[in-house]
Amino acid sequence: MTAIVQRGRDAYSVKIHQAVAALTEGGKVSLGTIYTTLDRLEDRGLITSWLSDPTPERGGHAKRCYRLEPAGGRLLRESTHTTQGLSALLEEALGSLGSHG
Amino acid sequence: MSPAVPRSLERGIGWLVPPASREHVLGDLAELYRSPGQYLWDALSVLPGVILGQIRRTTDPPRMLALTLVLVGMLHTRGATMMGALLPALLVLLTQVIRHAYFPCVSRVSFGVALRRALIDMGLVAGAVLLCEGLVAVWAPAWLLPAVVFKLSLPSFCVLHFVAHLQNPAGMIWPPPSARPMSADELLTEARGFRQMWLRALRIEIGAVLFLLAMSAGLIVLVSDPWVRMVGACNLVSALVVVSFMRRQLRSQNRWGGESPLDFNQARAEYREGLEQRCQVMHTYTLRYVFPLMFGPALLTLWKLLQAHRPWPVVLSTLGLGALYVLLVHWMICRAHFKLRRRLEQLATLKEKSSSELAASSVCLH
Repeated sequence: MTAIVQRGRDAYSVKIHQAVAALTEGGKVSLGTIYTTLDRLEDRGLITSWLSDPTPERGGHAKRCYRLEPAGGRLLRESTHTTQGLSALLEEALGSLGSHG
Repeated sequence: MSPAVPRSLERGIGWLVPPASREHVLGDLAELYRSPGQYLWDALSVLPGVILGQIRRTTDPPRMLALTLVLVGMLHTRGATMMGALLPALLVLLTQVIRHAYFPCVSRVSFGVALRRALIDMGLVAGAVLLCEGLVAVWAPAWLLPAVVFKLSLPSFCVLHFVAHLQNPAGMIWPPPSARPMSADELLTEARGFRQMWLRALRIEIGAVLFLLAMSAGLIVLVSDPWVRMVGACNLVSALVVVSFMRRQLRSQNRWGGESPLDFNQARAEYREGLEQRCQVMHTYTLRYVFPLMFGPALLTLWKLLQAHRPWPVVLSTLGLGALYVLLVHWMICRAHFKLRRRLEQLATLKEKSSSELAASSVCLH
């Protein structure tokens, strides 16, 4: 979902795959996994998709573009807050470890 | 300019990708194309996920498993081995899963198209069983099914499958989940399409139960065996209960909605009312529909089995299979109920398409 937000109007499978690879710092994520994840997110109503016009560089085939839905935006925000909370807790714990050491 | 994908290679891969994903998957693969070897490797690594994703969307597991269980039960007659009954049933299951993924059947098809597809599906079931028997005859003749299966059980299952397909062409009775904004017309089309699908399903179910009613009456009149006559009488009573329940449902469905043009909020209210009615029906389906039809014959079958010498292994396995079947039907109903509730929740927050979105979609259409 972060990759979809990042790509904006250009969010389709190949670009999302590239964005996910960059976000995971070269982590091995296959395009097939991206399709499965996008399908599940769409089924849950967190994102929506539509087919764009066909383009010659894609051999005359259309792209399936994705957009974040309000429910997806809320979930992403909640997840960001949780991560921030965890990060603060971890920093505090690591800080106290450092001061004791 | 990037090199183009060889047409024959693209056609070959396109044939393997389910039609629902074909357009964008082939586009993505074409965009990433560097050489035929790399294209083939990419395609093969993407295909399992794409096929499994489509199977997940188009298969209703409890429905498929319930049909498989019924088929195993029907093929496992006297003289048949469990393996001999299981293998063709599993091949039928596989054929059906693939058929749904590659040739998804939309619910809103005309009766003629549904009839044709149900006939094809019936042919596929018979073909899969016969193919399996051909292979078994070569590799493991001990697992071959007895002749009675081909005279009675298989034709009966084919008819059952035909009716089940006709009653529910898509294999799923729920509206498509979608959170995207819709126009009043789109929402009304979905609502009315869904309502028509339900009405047709109810009418076919009534027809099937009426057929069972006629058969039961025939058994009472024509057969002198008291046990068979009792089963017939039980079926007659339960079929009457079910038909009266369904007719009441049908009447309430007919009262729902008219054909007059509605605005977005009216369309949403009408759709909500219809979905809530169905949720209520689903909630009591097992109790009002499955149990009356199964209870009498099941009790009599058990009574008959108990008369035999050392009956407990057969009685327990029959009870186990019966319980498994009821659980699968209940799972199927709970799933449909859950999907209906989810669509209801989506409807509560569904937004009407803005005028700019409406203009954009009309430009796309022209």
